[in-house]
Amino acid sequence: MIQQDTNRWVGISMATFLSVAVALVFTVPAALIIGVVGGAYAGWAHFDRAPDPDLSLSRTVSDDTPRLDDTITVTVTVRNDGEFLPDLRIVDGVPDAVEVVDGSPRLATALRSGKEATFTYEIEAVRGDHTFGDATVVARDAAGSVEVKSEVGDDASFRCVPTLTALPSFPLRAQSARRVGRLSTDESGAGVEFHATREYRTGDPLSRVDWKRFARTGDLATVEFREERAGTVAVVVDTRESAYVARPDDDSAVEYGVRAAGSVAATLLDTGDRVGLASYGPDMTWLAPSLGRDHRQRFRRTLATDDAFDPTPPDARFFSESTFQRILKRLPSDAQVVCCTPLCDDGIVRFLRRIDAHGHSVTVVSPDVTGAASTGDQLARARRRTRIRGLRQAGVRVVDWPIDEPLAATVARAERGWRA
Amino acid sequence: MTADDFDDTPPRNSATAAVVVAAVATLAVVAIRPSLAVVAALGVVVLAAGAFRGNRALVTTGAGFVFVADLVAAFSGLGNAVFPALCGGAFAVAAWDIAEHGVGLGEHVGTDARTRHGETVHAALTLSVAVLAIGVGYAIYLLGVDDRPIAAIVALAVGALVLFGAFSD
Repeated sequence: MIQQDTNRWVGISMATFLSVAVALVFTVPAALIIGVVGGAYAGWAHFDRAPDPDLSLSRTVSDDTPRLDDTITVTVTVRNDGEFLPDLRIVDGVPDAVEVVDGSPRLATALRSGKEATFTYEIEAVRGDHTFGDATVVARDAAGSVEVKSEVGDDASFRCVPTLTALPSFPLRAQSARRVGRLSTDESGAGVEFHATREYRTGDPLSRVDWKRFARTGDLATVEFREERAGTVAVVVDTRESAYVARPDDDSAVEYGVRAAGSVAATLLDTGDRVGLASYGPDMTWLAPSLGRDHRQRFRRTLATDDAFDPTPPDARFFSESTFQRILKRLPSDAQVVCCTPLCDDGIVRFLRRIDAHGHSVTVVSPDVTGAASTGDQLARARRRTRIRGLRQAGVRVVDWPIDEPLAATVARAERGWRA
Repeated sequence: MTADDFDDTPPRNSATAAVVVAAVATLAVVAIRPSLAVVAALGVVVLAAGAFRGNRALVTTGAGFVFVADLVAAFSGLGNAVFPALCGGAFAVAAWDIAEHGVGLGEHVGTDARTRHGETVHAALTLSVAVLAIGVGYAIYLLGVDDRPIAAIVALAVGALVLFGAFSD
């Protein structure tokens, strides 16, 4: 509780002394009487006691598990448990990442003892766990000469875990692993796509005998299919402070990265690939590649609420080398990496090329948050293009995602390009 | 994101009330000396500009104009002009208080917040003090004998002491 003088009545002394001076110099009784006004206000300002606010606050959140971009109504009720407060100003502690879309989280009122004041505002749900901070309360005496600042709060919170929306498809790099899945390999075996025929060997399943050929020539032959295998993928989201770049009045690139990571993971999990999650930032989170319903839920929750993917930039220092080592150590040897990053500096390019050099093929999904308004914007855009070109030359696939387009469309276009 | 942009324009109610009260003070000045109407009216315009836009300096300057105009009117007016002079002074101070309070509200909670109750209570309190000051001042004047207002000087001495106490600690 901080008490301070507002000093707003200091000028009244000047008014009073001016009247008195006029009265004494020119012997005007009326001016002297006007001085009484100044005296009265000065007395009011002086003799009013500093308020001693004793408040309790409770919030009602209309939905504590909202969906993404839902509008939540927050109702704040402040109760005066102490004496009459003639001038009370309240500023609610809206969570940092949350935006107020309607109403005002502030109130000015006078509150009698035992009475309650209520105000309502609407916020838009953003991903993550959000706890309301303490409301700041400023109570003034009636004359406004002294103000007392204090804080009051409750533990209201909400959690928004967005659903993972799968893309129609997400192409992985060719690889060789020992699990059945959808990645085509150049090895023949059991699969769907025709690969070759060979001479029948004892023990081959009858269903794979080429009966038409037998009818035509009398030779027994066995059809071989292209073997398809599951991929192991680690989705890495760039969460360094520098990745929290954004267009004006838009979500940051990390937010877009998280969305892309969710979509890619959902797509790959649907097709039976094993998907893990990592954050490349000061707060390193790791979820080992796995599959199944439980893993999908865990993935979704981690992406939504883990501190590493917080909607507000991290404070901690970032050590690129140790973070790289920690990610590399955890990556299964056959894992490929899908990295969601705005590619806004060269540090991430070095990281990706090193990962690539260690035998993990890399696909980058890069939300493009650069603008074109100023010279600086254009420079940032040009440098990002250079980085993309460099990565592509080094054999890294890059999906350059213009954020005003659905990711699915961008991926589909990129996929056509890779096939051609 | 427009809702997030904080607008610190003072609430209109306070600004309007302040302008009305200042206009009443101007009427009091006009009642004593019509020729000072221009100065006082200028003060009201400046105060209105400050009150609606949230500029303390303008509010104080405007109220100051009204107050000084009132003082000059009292200086040149006749003996029976004490009551309007008293009203002019008291309402000039009250107008300043209401307008300044509005500016403070604008800074603290902004124009989007609900402030009506707080404004009403403050305006009522400050007008009560103004009316009380007018009552006490006029009573002192009536009690004081013609051109030797001893009671007024005593009351002022007390007021000066209070002032001294108020701003020295």
